[in-house]
Amino acid sequence: MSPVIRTWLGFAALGSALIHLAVGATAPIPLSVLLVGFGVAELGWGIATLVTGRVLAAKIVVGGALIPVLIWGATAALGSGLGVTNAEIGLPLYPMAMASLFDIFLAATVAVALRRASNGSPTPVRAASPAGWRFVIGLVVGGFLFSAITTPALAATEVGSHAVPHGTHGVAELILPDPTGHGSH
Amino acid sequence: MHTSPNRLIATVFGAVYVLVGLLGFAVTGSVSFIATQGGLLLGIFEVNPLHNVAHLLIGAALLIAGVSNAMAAKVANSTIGAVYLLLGIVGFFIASTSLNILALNSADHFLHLASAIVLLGVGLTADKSVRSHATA
Repeated sequence: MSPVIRTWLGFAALGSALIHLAVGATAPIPLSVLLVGFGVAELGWGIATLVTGRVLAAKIVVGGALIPVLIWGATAALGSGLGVTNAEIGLPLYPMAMASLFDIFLAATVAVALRRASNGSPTPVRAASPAGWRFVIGLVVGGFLFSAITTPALAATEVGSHAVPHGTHGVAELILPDPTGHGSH
Repeated sequence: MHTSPNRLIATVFGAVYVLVGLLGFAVTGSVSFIATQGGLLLGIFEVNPLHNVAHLLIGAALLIAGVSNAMAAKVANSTIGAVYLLLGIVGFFIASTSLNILALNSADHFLHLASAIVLLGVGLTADKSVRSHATA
């Protein structure tokens, strides 16, 4: 797997982690625990993949990365089946969709890499190292691409609606999320 | 500089942030230090003098690390990227207005998150075999 793709996997995990943590911060308690838990796991895996330069626990990641997607799908489906709206379930559509995009990209890329490895394709004697123009360009493009997807998704969360406009720091006023969860829109 | 992605990224990002900080002062000359109504840089980015100082300091740290050696650049990149990301995450949970800076849909938030991810990414993945006395 090229260093650029591996870096993009790390970025996808970071993006998904940020969104899951932001959504989980104000979700109803059972969902909050799950989302924050997966957010922390994704953050840890993303950092570890970047640091070690290897895709860690590939077989677990292929399935594990899809669990948050299934959780979101289940809450949306069960909710709509029971007549409960998305807003009451507490999981906003756009952020969860973007986080799911990241997770699906992660799972699919790792799955393809595992398949190639098991098919016995010849591994290079010396894998490409993260250096050179191709790596730097891939890194910067990846950073900007994943931020372009993550930032609007974060803005669409409840914690995002509490954020100050940039350039207005220095106002020390504490705004806490609604303790009863969603419902104040 | 030619062989170290960390030095390259640190130098470029450092120079850009120093420039942004200096340009920011050009548009906030009449704004008080922690004003809540800032000036507009390039007509898009809202800044105030506190902001400009932050940009200058972070930019200077990156630039100095970038022109020094690969290990300094690697440490600066990783640290600044990590601190920024962690501040954002902490901000989700306390939603304090002074810390929750990642979550708005505006150009400067996107650029800051992108900077954090790129700095952390290059700091963690590149120049793994560098030693602190290297000048590569």
